Amino acid sequence: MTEMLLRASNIAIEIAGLELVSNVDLEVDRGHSLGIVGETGSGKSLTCRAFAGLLSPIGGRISSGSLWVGRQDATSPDTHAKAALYGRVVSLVPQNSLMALNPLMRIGTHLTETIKALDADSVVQLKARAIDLLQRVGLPDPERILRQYPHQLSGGMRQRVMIALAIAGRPELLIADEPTTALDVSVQKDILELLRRLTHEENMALILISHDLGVVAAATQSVAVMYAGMVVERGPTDTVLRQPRHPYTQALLKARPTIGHTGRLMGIPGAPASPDTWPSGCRFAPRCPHADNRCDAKVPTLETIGGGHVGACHRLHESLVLDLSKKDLLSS
Amino acid sequence: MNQGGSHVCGPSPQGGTLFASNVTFAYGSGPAVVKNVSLMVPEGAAIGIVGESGSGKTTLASLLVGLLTPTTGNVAVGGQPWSKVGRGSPLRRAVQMVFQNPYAALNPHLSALRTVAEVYQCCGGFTKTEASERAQALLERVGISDQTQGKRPSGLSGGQCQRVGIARALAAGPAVIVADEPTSALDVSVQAQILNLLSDLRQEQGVGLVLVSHDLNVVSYLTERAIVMERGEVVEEGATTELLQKPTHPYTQRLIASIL
Amino acid sequence: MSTEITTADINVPGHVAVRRQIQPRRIELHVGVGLILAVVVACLVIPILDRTDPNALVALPLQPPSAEHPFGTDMVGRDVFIRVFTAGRLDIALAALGVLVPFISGTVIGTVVGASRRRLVDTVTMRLTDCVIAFPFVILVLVIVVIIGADTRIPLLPPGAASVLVAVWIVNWTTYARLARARTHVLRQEDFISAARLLGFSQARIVARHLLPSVWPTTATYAVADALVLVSLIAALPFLGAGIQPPTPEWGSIMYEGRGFLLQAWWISFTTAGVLLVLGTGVMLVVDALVSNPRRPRLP
Repeated sequence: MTEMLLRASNIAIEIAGLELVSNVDLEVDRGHSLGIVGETGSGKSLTCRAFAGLLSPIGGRISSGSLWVGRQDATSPDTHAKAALYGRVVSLVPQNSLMALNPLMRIGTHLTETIKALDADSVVQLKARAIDLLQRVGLPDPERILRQYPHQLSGGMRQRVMIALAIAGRPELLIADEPTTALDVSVQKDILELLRRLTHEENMALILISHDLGVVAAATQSVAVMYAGMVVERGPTDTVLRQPRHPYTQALLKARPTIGHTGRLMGIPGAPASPDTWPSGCRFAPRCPHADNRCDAKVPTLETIGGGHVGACHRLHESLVLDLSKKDLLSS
Repeated sequence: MNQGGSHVCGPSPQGGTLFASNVTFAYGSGPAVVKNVSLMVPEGAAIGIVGESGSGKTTLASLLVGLLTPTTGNVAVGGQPWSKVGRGSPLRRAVQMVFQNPYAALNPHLSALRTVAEVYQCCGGFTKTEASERAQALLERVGISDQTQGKRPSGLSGGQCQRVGIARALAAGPAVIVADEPTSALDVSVQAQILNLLSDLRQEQGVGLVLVSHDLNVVSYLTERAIVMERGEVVEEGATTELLQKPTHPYTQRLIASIL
Repeated sequence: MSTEITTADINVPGHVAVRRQIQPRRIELHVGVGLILAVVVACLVIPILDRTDPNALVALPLQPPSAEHPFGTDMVGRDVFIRVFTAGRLDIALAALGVLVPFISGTVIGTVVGASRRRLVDTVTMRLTDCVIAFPFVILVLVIVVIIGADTRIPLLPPGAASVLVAVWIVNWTTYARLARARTHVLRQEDFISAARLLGFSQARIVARHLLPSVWPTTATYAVADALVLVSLIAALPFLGAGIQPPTPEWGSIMYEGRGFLLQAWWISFTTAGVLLVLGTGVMLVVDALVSNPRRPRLP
């Protein structure tokens, strides 16, 4: 009964001849929510730009692999098909979206322009549709907001407007890139709640990108952890965050300070590698506490752990299961 | 490096206490962004300042280090208000700052080594070679290796820049370091390294810490006492663990409830 | 949705390495420097290789370009090729001198004033620059010619150069000072300047070590463009009877003299203008490349 909405198999993305994302396999079912977690330079934003058809403005391209959105091959150069796809089937709430509203345009103009471009059915009742969209994203008094300029709204309200714009074309897949990073903690939770409600009500699939495991845990059903341009672990959110198997996921979880936590934090030594210095073997090996000869020699592939849980690590099956109650299991 | 006598050119430990009394501050003739805040940083203590954007916490940090002058009330270091502390006074160096954006905090034209050595040379009265040697040792201590020390900020990662910024602050031999969101621009894995470093340095060198952050997790990890600010006012204060486990003010409760 | 994502999100987060790889401006810089060097080298070398006196009458007047006289001859029969490149030495030297002094003094004055926290220093300096800028430049040059006299000479430079240079020195520092002050005001807000102040560094140290290295690239960019304006200015002054006097070869006067023969002998003015154009294009390319050079990696 579940239907595949997006399927990326083995895609690689390059910009200016430099491969920044390698061998990414991801799938999203209709109505499903997927989180992508990773640090600076992990390629998570780039992957999602590829899904949203927005690589060319930054000079990037999918250099290998296949990407299917709905029943369309998104790697084909058919621009007509692409116009039908982006904004309508897939829609993106970009990173830094708080800055993405034109300061000289009223919110109403933003909405009507977008509706005109994407939603032919609603053109006759532009204003009604605009008000409807603002209500859907939970903004009070939409009539008044339509007349306001972006600077008159708070960060949380602007983010809601961005989401309203993104769903104007009634997309089947909504991609939100770091939607809460610039917001205050108390607003963050409301926005995640909104995304969860919207995907449910509109039967949309959601891809949520974040560097924060907490955000992903709060809003998604499954999660993919990316490091240095590759997916290192993937599975149901609950399983991955409770029983992480990849050393990087484990380290990320332990690196977060939490209230009531005592003793030292387990940082990951070193810094994320940059694309021109990626090691030839496992890309996490230089920072991994468990790395051995195999890790330096060969890139690990994703292997099944069970229940949709997969991981890319040579020592995946050597009972490196992290028991999160025993914090000092893997002292670095 | 000189671990024991870390106060290379700082004041006596008793004089290092930072004390803000009834501080109010407004930009120009605008509304007050910090209202009637009093805060005491005892010798070697770690205090957290928690709040969301617009709460006035960063302004308060600037007031504490003396970059801004209060409209009313005053901030005193070692018993002297900032207005009476001259540029060359050892008290001036007793309070140092670690900034949020690690790149903007460093002079883009100076290498990590020069950045830190300059402080020893100017504040500690060391010769160029001595200053350089001390800077090398200190940078090594904060985790900047020999090969990296000659690089300029554009060649360093965010975490490395933040380490250099911390070393620069330490080189002045401060009694208190005010850290304004020191990890919010960093990746999670790097954040842990920096938090650990700050925690270790506090223990080793007995430096007091004022940590400004919106992240309650970070504040709980590093500080013993904390104040919670909302719209320029302190709405709650107390021991950090108590504050986070049994918050009494509705604003604090809301903040804690929003932690994911 | 696509309409909303225009320029806001073009940078890939944190990819310093990527940005280093893409440097389209490099080419412009190389071509620009190449063009400038070509003109400068030609001006240095050609008068040495061909020791013909630029004021000698070598052939019939108004001869079109030929193998012997690549730029032809002018209305009295002088070799335009030799005159253009001999003139280049003078024009480039004057431009360099006329730019260097105001660039250095203006940048330092502007930075010191911008960094000063005394209102009075700032007000006085800025009103002074207002006065200088408000004064008509050409009249100022004429006044200076009267005061220092046309006979006052700077060693190695022809008569008339001194008054032009002094006038330029008196006027042009103001633009640099204003630019430097504005840049300093921006830098003053930056954390690394706050840090220097917290460390108790002296004002002199903050200016010299922390501000100037970030200020001078801004004024230097202007200086390069200013040099080109200066060449045009020096070329324009002979029209008013000031500046470098004939028969000393000078780009402005060569073009001025050729003006009357544009239809019969286009080469007099056009070859000179061509050389100036090559130099100007080079300068503009360099300025372009410098202005768009990203200096600091941005945070994600």
